[in-house]
Amino acid sequence: MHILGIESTAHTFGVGVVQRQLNEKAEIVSNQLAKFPSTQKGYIPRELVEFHSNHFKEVLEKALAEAGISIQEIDAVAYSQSPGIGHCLHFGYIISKTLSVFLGVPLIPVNHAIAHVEVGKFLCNARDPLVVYVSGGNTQILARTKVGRNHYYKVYGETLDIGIGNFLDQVGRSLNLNPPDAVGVLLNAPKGKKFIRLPYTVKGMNLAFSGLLTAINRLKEKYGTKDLCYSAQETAFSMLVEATERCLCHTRNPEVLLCGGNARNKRLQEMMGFMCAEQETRFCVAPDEYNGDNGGMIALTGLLLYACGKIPEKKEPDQKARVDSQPIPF
Amino acid sequence: MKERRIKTLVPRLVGKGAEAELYLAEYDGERAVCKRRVGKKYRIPELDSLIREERTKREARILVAVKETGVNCPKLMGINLYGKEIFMSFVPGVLLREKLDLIKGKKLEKILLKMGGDLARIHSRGVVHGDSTTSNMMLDEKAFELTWIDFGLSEFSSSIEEQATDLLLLKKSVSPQQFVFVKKGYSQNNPIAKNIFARLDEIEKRGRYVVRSMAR
Repeated sequence: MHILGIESTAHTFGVGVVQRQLNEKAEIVSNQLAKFPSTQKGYIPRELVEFHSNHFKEVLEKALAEAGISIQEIDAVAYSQSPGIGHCLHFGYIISKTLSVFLGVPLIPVNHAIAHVEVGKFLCNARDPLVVYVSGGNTQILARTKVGRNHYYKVYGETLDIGIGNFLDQVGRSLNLNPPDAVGVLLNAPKGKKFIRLPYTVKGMNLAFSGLLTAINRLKEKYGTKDLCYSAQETAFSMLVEATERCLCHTRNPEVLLCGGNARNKRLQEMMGFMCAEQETRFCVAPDEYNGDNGGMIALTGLLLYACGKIPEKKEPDQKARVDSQPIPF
Repeated sequence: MKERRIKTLVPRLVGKGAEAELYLAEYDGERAVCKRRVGKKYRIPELDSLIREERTKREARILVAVKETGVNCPKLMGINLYGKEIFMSFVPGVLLREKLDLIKGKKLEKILLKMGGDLARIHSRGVVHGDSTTSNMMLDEKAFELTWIDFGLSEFSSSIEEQATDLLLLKKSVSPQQFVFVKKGYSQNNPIAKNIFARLDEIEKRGRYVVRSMAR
């Protein structure tokens, strides 16, 4: 059985294929993507969709070739339904709905955030992790809980303003880095030597990054770019790890799973690892390829939904669905 | 200067939170609790030391300020900045979180009114608790006294935003029926309670991806 997953929530158009033979463990057999390059302006929805429509065919063909199957062998199409940028979600919806009608197979709507969590759990063999989901738009600390008859990912802590990735991207643009985003900050941070004190905002298990951003904008004339990157990254990550530690002391999950685009940051991984060692908890993080937005994670979550026979009724995209509003039937 | 006799009674750990360890101690012959903020390997040493020191100092100042309002809280006995330690009086009783749902009727009402009133008094002194949940209150079952503990996340602030956040935390840790009394106790002791409740509603609607019209 093969499930095709289509990811199109923001800057990335991704296609992945998951394969499962009877009584065997599922396997992600292909994962291809095209990512809109960072610019000084940030992302403009119209330009993102233009980019996606220029690349979807090539990405789809590459994914099928990597999996070594023809399009007729697909048994269901999963797509990222929510949350994300409206234009991109609708583009993904149209492509996947067309495919599902054309092939006569079911369409499976998948929550993007849940997909990030599930692929991490799957690849790390995690049972019941405390999840730290860090991406451009989202910074949430989640754990699975039972409410009534259903299971949900409950949000224990989250950002009160902007996501950590968004924060780092804006630092990158404000300091004119190359590339003008979080990667620019990541590349410059290890070269910084002097630590500059910046606002450190942890409110219980919640975080706020906007004060930090304002401080950096004010200090950029006074201090060097590298020192600012170093201090911004150390401060923001320390806040995040501290909030996670607080949640962990409360929930006592056996594992901590780091996922989302910013989970690829090696310094963040190292810091989380130190904290988990002190708390005697297993730390896990999936390979980089599966932490950024990708089609493989959508396909995998689609498979989980398909296998338990509970495909959501509502298929249309939803820009704002919160992760804790979606029951987890598997 | 009188010499203080500090004794950390058997390094007996009575509690371990995310950022500090609690030890039973003796301070000037009195039963005390030592709260030690431990270093974190994940933070770079400069930041780690700064944060622990600032928080230790701030917590000590807050304990004194809260004591002035008449709200029950541990008494500050001493502070050791080098070791990032605070010595405070031992609070007997049980965590309110574990007992609250077992209390019924008038007694429950009384404790909830007290809870709201205490928070209003703390706010009127220009302090926000920062972690105002029932896990941070002790109940002395014999005297039926409520004592606020753990001012580790507290700050000196009179911002309506932060006061409303305190109320939100408290709201989340009790049931909606119970919160009615907390709100009543709070209104009776804070002249600007109306503004703070208005902000509380606003904060709840602000959450990421909350459906604006449906938010309670």
